[in-house]
Amino acid sequence: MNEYWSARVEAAENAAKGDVSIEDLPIRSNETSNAYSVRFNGVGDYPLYAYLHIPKSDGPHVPIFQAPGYGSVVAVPPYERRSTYIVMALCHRGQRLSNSRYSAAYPGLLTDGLPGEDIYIWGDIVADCITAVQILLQQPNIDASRLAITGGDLAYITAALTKGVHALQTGALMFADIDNRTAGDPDYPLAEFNDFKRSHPEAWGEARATLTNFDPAELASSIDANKVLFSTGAGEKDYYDQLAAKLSGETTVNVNLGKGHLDHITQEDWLAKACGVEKGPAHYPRTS
Amino acid sequence: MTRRDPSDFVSSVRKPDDFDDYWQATEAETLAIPLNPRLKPDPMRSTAEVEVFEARYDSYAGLEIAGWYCRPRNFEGQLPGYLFVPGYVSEPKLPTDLALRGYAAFSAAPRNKLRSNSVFNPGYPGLLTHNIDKRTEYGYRGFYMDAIRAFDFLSGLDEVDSSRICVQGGSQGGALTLLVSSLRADQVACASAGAPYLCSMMDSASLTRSYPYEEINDYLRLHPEREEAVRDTLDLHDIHNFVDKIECPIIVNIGLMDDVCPPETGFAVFNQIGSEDKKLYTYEDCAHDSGSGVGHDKVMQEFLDGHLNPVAL
Repeated sequence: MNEYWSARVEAAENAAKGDVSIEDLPIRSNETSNAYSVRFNGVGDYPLYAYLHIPKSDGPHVPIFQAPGYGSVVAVPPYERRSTYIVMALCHRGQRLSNSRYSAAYPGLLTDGLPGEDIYIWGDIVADCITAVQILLQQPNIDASRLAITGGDLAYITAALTKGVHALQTGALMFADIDNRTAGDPDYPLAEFNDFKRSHPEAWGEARATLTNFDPAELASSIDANKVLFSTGAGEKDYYDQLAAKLSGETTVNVNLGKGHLDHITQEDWLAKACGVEKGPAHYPRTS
Repeated sequence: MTRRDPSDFVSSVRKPDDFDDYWQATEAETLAIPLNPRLKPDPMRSTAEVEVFEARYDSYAGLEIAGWYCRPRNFEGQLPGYLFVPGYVSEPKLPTDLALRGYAAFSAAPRNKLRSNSVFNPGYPGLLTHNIDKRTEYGYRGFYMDAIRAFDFLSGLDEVDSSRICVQGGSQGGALTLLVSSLRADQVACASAGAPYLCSMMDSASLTRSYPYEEINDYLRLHPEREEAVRDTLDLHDIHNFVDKIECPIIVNIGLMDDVCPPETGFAVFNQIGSEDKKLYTYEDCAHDSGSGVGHDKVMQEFLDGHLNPVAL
């Protein structure tokens, strides 16, 4: 772990030692799981919110940290996961429910604070995730030896900076292969990098150096998860194959079929198998 | 146990007797508020080929609504218009790609979306059940009008050929596409609705446990005594009850394993669409992606471009 991350990880882990409020959230509880609102402070005493769902069945349960995606809304975790795993879904600083002091813009968040590495917002956002994982691990009735982390860049980076991750399910990494993927006219959010380059050409060199801290290839040697799944489109398979070769754990690169139902089954089956659990009952389609 | 054929599904939606009066009154109330359209250039998001503007306008109950407007930097004559309407939780896209295709493109951020949520902000989850037991105060009443006014904004721009405007979106955007195509039936030239949400809403909540419809299940679990009031509100706002007014050429796409917007309700609303020129695309083993990963985006682009003839940059 480099100097940039070591100080941030230490601060994030210390933040997890602060007060944590856990309140019932009856409207999101159901017949298989109880829901809770979790409130705690991230680095800089920033107030954060997370959903926590605990199965009603006997534990111990496998904990999943569902890392936030790129958007203002963090969804309540899916029905099947809530019935099977202890799931935490964090709203990082700037997202709804964690936006009392800072509200993220879309587009805008991906370059907020560039070029300087000290104020690039993603350093603190990653720290929020690390703090949240530590709080998840403090919960009773969990099997910490099977900690799973799922999601995009924030899942990958959090897994790289957290010891003892068992399973990592990830893909579609925004910080991957930035130079090649910003050539031409990429869609948003990647286009945000081009907007920044066009507006601040003199600062791109420093910005690019800052972004190296988030580059999956640079962080690969820090990933010690036992099992890793990359889900990707066919066009980016080579990149993920190369990334997989740098990881120490048992790594699978799965090319999505582009059929959401089948791709979802593949990912959830992999997760259940990796964690050694019975997958929750499918709720859709309902049969009659 | 086997699954019933979703194409056989019969919606339980009822059309309230006051449905047309309610929406005529709502629209009249909205139209009484000056649109007050504003465009502010956004140099950081603009390129050599595309100009980007932050848009603002006023809507139902006087709320200020935001949007993005993109157009080719250089063009001759008038441009075809493209209204993009957003999904439930996603941020409205910045439609530079549509401007590159030769469209004057407007991407709306109805109330509760970022930049339009200073007054109305029930959040996500939250919007679907906001005032759901109070039929005339339901959150989607104003939200629907925000989409209608987005169309009016686009069609009122001098550079837009008002006879060549399409509407497109997926999920909630699919619902809003159907809504705008219904309430602006004489102005929408063609439309594409993907995985339409807000159709047969009570049925949908009984067919799936995925959000957003799960919000209804959550609400009724805590307030079972309010079920009839909820059904009444939803019938008054169900997209299923609007679409017989649609006249334009339209395509609809659904995933046959969509757990978010059950395909049963997609078949039902498609059957209800009034237009004679309509086509349904169904995608096996697809979920809420509804075919976007197996080529439907190309189908949609060819359909819309074929009707509107944009000149790509």
